[in-house]
Amino acid sequence: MINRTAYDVEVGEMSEQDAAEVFDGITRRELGIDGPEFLDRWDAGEYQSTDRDDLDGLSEVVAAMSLVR
Amino acid sequence: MPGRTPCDAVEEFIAPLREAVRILDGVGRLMVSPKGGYRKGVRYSWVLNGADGMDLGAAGWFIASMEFEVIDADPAKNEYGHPLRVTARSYHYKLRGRDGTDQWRMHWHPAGRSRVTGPHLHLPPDLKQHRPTGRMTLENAVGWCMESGAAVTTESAEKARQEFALIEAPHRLHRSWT
Repeated sequence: MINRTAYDVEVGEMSEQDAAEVFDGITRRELGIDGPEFLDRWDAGEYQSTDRDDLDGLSEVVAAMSLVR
Repeated sequence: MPGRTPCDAVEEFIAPLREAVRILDGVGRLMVSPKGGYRKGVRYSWVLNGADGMDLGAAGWFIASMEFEVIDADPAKNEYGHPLRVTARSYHYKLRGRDGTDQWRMHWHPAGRSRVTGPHLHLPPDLKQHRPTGRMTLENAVGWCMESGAAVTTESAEKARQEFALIEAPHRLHRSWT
C-alpha cells in the first residue's frame, strides 16, 4: 500500500512567544508543572542534586531550556 | 554538511532531518529556537511539532528534540572548503503509544548531572534501565518508528530503509563520530 502524505515537512524559527509556549507544553507533559514554575524551581536549585535520569522527563526539560534561555 | 556561513551550515544540517521526517506519514514541523539568527558558539534546539510531537496514528506520537551548535569545520575535509558545520549537543527521541506509555526512548545528554553521559536507550518494562548505544540519528529514530508500526510515505518499508541510507550518506562523511 502506498501511503502518500498530503503534507510537506515545514521548518520554521519560532517566535519567543511560540518557544515559551512549547517549553511550557514540554514541562507540563514531562513533569506536570508549567514552564515558569520549572524555571523558578531550577533557579532555586531544586534540581541541583537530582540525576537527570532519576526523574522521568527531567533530561528532556533541561535540554528544552535552550528554547527560552 | 558544512556551510559557508552559520545560516548555511544550519540549513545543510536541517535539510536531511526534514527528509527523514517526510518518510513518516503525518504532519511534521521542525521548530527551531529563536536566538536572533545563527552564530557560532550558541546552543540552539529544534523540536518536532512542539510539545505535542508528531501524530503517527495507531503507532502513537513521535516526540523528538535536539540541541545543536555551529562549530568550526575543517575546510580541507569538504569539497567546497566551507569553514562551518553543525554538531548535535544532545538528543531525545521517543515513541509514545496511544495509551500514553513510552514504547522506547533514545537519549543522549552528555552535559549536566547524570551518571550516564553516553548515548543510551530506555525500553519497557523497565524504562529506568540504561542500555548503551552508539550515537543515534533522527533517521535511526524515524526507522524505529516505522518498525514500531508507523505508516510511511514510501512504497514499502524496504524502500524507506534505502531512503534512510541515502539521507544519512552525506552526514556520515562529515560527522566526527562513528
